[in-house]
Amino acid sequence: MSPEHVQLLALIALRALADYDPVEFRRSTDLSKREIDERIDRMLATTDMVGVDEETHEIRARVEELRSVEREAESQVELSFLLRQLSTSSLQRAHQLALRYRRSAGPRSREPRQETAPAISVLKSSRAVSEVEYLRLAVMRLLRELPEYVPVFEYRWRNRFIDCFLDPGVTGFPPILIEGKKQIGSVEEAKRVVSQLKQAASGWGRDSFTVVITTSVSASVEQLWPELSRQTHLLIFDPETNEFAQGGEKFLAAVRIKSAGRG
Amino acid sequence: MSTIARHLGKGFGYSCQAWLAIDIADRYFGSIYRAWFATSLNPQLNGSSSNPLVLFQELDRIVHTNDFHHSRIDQLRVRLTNWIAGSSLSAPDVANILSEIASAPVAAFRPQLWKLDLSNIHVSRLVSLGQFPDEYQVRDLIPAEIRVIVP
Repeated sequence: MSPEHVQLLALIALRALADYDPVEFRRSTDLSKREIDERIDRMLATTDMVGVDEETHEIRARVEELRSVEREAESQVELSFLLRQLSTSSLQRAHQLALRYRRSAGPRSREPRQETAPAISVLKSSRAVSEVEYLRLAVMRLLRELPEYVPVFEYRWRNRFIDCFLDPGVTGFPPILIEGKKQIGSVEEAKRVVSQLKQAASGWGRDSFTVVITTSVSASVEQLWPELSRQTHLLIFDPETNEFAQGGEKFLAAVRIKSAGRG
Repeated sequence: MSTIARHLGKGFGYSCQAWLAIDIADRYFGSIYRAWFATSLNPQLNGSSSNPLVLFQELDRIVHTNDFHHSRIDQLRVRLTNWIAGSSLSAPDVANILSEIASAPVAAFRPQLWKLDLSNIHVSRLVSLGQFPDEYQVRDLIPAEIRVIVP
């Protein structure tokens, strides 16, 4: 008996669910029926599954039963009934084997979760996205990569408001101050935003990060930004795709490096 | 028109989550939560399992009375199992979690009520489940997007 047996039984139950309760199936998983079938077939073809043990026979019989019910059921009522029975019994058997597995297996180290790199899209022409809305979306997108932080929008600091303050709490990570400007069309505008941010950040010292998030900048601003401010990061956010078109990866890398140094 | 709030014309979503589901998401999915929600706390036209307030009250009572054989607990065990079965976790992790679900005490299903600010969530992340009029799902919520209004 192996954990693959448990997983297969659970997959069979899920596959049956897909036909007799499609809504519940959608609630449970992003996988399609075809993807589940492929997973089941792939797992059955692996070395462990070509053995002659009782559990492997049982699983193969259940898979065959699943496929024959789908082929041969004469009505939707019959199909739903039989699939529900198969799903329930497979699930119960999965739980039973899982309990047995846990009793017999020692502690296992958890495999690291596979992280998928976010796609960075090309910036499209701006749409009617409100000033507040795009900034909130952009901050939430950042926080997916920086879960240690807590956002505070319209953060009051002394006699001014900062559009967003990312509070690292007690983690020891550097604080992050963010100003949002939906479009930066001129160098003068860029200078104003940077200046506002620098004044606000003066209370946090050299360890903090300052960030300007926008949805579009003029070519001159983009070109001159390193001269306008070496310390302030410019992030260009695409609200249509919910991704950073520019600056996101570099900024996140900078935060991680600085955090590692403080740790 | 990029946020769920704009598309649905509602500012907030409400969801009831069992502690065990949250804990599994914290330990195995990097605190990324797969959560359904309704745009009102007590949607009259939703079934009881899709009504955050009704579900909370029901689970709260079940936990207080330690009603181990209640059908709602069985339903939650099945839902959690289906979620794990369709995930990308390894076979050993799946087996471990399933054993945990199968043997979890009733108290592990104690409910939390969440409030989601839908103006913070991009509409591309919205899934309409379609079973009841006011039932939606977001499959990748992060802690910053959730406010726990009843822990």
